[in-house]
Amino acid sequence: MENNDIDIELMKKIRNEDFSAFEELVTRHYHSVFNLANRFLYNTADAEDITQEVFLRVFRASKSYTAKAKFSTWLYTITKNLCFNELRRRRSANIVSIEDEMIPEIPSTAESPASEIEKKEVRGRVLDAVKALPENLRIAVLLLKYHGLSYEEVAEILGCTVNAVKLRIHRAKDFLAKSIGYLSEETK
Amino acid sequence: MNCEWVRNNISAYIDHELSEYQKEMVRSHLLQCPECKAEFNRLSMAWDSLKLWEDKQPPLYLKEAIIKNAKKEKYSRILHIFVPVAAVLVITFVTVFFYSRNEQQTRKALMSENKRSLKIESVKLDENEIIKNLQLIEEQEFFESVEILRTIEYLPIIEEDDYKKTSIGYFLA
Repeated sequence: MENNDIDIELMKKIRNEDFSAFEELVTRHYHSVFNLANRFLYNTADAEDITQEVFLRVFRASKSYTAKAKFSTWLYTITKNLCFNELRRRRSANIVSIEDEMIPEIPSTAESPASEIEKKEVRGRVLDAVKALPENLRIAVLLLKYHGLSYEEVAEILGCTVNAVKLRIHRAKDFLAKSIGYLSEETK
Repeated sequence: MNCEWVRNNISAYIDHELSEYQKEMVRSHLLQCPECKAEFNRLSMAWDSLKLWEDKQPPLYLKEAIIKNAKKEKYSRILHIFVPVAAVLVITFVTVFFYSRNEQQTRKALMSENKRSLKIESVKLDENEIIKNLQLIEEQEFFESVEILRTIEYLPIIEEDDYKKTSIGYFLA
């Protein structure tokens, strides 16, 4: 049974008041929903709230849910919408989020300190670069890179054409390369 | 192969979003063109470096919180159905109860009123009075019949000729 079939089956069970099916659905997806929201909003607390709200909406919609698209596409669409709502709310309230990604992590002992420092530095630059991406490019990058979706699925979630996604991803890669400091051979 | 076409498709090539034929075209071009190869390296390195941003483990309580919220939602859903139904039943019961109680009270009041009036009449009316009343009724009937006779007396007398002139008289004649 494919992953999507399992999800659809679980949704059917939830519709028939099977609460254990809902628990299983949460177990399968809350990790990825949380990470998408966390990477998009740079705030763990907001990501937690969004994750809770996403699953509450899934539960509410279980009665009317029809499997028109892949379940994960539907789930990420809800997450994306809630993330954009949160950004709008922040903008209107002039809220500056505390970025907990900036909190230093305990270094692992497996690598040499020099390479660890270098890795950390690059990681910092990567985070800054992704954060600096325009929102419509950022969400496309996150869905494609961290959630393994295809251009077609990303297009469906973002409500645009596959060509638009292709263009966005290309622009995002170029932007990231410039921000992180990967120069082309010509400019070196 | 056109460098512009390849550069426009390098990103899709990195993401494995090209057809087999297109992939082959890009691959063969990259082997020949150092500039396009450099562009490919630049974009793929940037894309690969995103791996450094690892997944974060969601807090342990998050799953519990999600389940708890959904349970609350489930009960509130039940309440949403139950409360209006219960309210309608209570209102109906109260209305029926008070209506039937009022009805009973009114019926009792009427019955006691009737009993009282019957008692009063039985006390007031005696035999002589009934006879007197009957006489009055008879007198009234007598006067009414006299009045009717009087009205007949005042009716116009139709002569035989006039009678024949009427349509019924003509027909009968």
